[in-house]
Amino acid sequence: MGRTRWRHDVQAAPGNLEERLRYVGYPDEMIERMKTMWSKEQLPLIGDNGFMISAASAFPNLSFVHNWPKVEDSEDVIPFISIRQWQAISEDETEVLSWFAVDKEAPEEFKALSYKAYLMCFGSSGMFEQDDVENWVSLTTTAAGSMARRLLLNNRMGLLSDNRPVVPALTDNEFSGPGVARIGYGEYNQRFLLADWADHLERPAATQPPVEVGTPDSPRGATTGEDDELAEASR
Amino acid sequence: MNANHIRVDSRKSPLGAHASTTSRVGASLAFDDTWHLTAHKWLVDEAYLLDAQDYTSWLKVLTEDIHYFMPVKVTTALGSGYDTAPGMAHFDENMYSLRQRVARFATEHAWTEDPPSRLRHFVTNVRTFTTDRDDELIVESAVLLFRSRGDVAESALVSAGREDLLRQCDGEWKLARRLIDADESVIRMQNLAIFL
Repeated sequence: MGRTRWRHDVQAAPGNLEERLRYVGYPDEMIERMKTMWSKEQLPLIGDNGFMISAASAFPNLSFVHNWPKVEDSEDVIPFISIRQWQAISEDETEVLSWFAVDKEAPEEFKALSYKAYLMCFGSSGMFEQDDVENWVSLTTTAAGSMARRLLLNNRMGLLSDNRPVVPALTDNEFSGPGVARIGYGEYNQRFLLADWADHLERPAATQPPVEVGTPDSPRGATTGEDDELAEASR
Repeated sequence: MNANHIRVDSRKSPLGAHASTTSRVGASLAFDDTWHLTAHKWLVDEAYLLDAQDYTSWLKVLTEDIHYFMPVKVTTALGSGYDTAPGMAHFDENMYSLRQRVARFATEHAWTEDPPSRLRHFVTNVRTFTTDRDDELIVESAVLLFRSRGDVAESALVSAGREDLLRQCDGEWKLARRLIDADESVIRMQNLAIFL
């Protein structure tokens, strides 16, 4: 299974947990549910550390968007979640599978408005998506150009010339989430992602043990020996 | 008539509650009927606005309670009873969201249409129906949009059927509801930074 690399773009907001969630448009009944469902690490990320997840990616090709636009002539904002998969088709073609996700228990009016917010921003007609895709297409063309062939990519944002990071990583008190986090502009995540990808390309492909489904040896269903070890470790 | 054809319906959208529910009455009107000629002319005039991307003028020919709905088409088995994705659409617009889209096109940062696409809406197969309201007509049409941009990228076509509700407002016909039945499940265009 290996490691999963996350990329976060997080934005701070003023107030406590409830105020920060209200600020991005969650109604109180959903906030109360979040307080009972989220883990003791997840709650302080918003409540104490003051971050609100806005964009994230999981290696290799899964991304998440969480924005909160206006959807009517009022000052209210409504948050939406989009999950997207970037599926490579060829060396210069990618198919994007984009989902809108909303809490099944959310009020029906919230679901409709959150869906509206998603449609305005992302998807085939989405206002942000249109310009984002324009960028990806342009980047691809530029990457094949003569300047790109002559120069190395400068991917050093956040590094000093002696390779020390410009800012230190946040402490456990400042960031309750897993892994390494920093505030400010930087290409830390990009470097991790590209390094992970290079490692996968350079390592020989792992042999996958056969999967057993519903056998006397594996009555719970599809497992491999590895999954059982991971399940044990995380308990 | 294809008994399997399922009409696009505002009521299937979570955002369609505000939409007019007027439906057609009877058979399509003769091609020399005054109402048909009026409706057809309206569609042709509108096509010129959309080709020119004159969206400010286009907004003015929509009613305030407009529902502009293009659900995602899905491939299903014959007889399954549905061919659009429940709860996902390419467009599911009211006046507010259409105004926002038009306002964005008018800014200096809508890069996806700068340089602009070259557009031509081919509107055909027009059929007009009366309704149970004196001030409303239903008109069906087929639209084929040709779109090209720049000099190198392949041009693209999108084909769809449209069912429109036209309403008389102060002596002028306006679009109160457009239900778009796309002819592809996966739209072969980079985006829908246009209107059908």
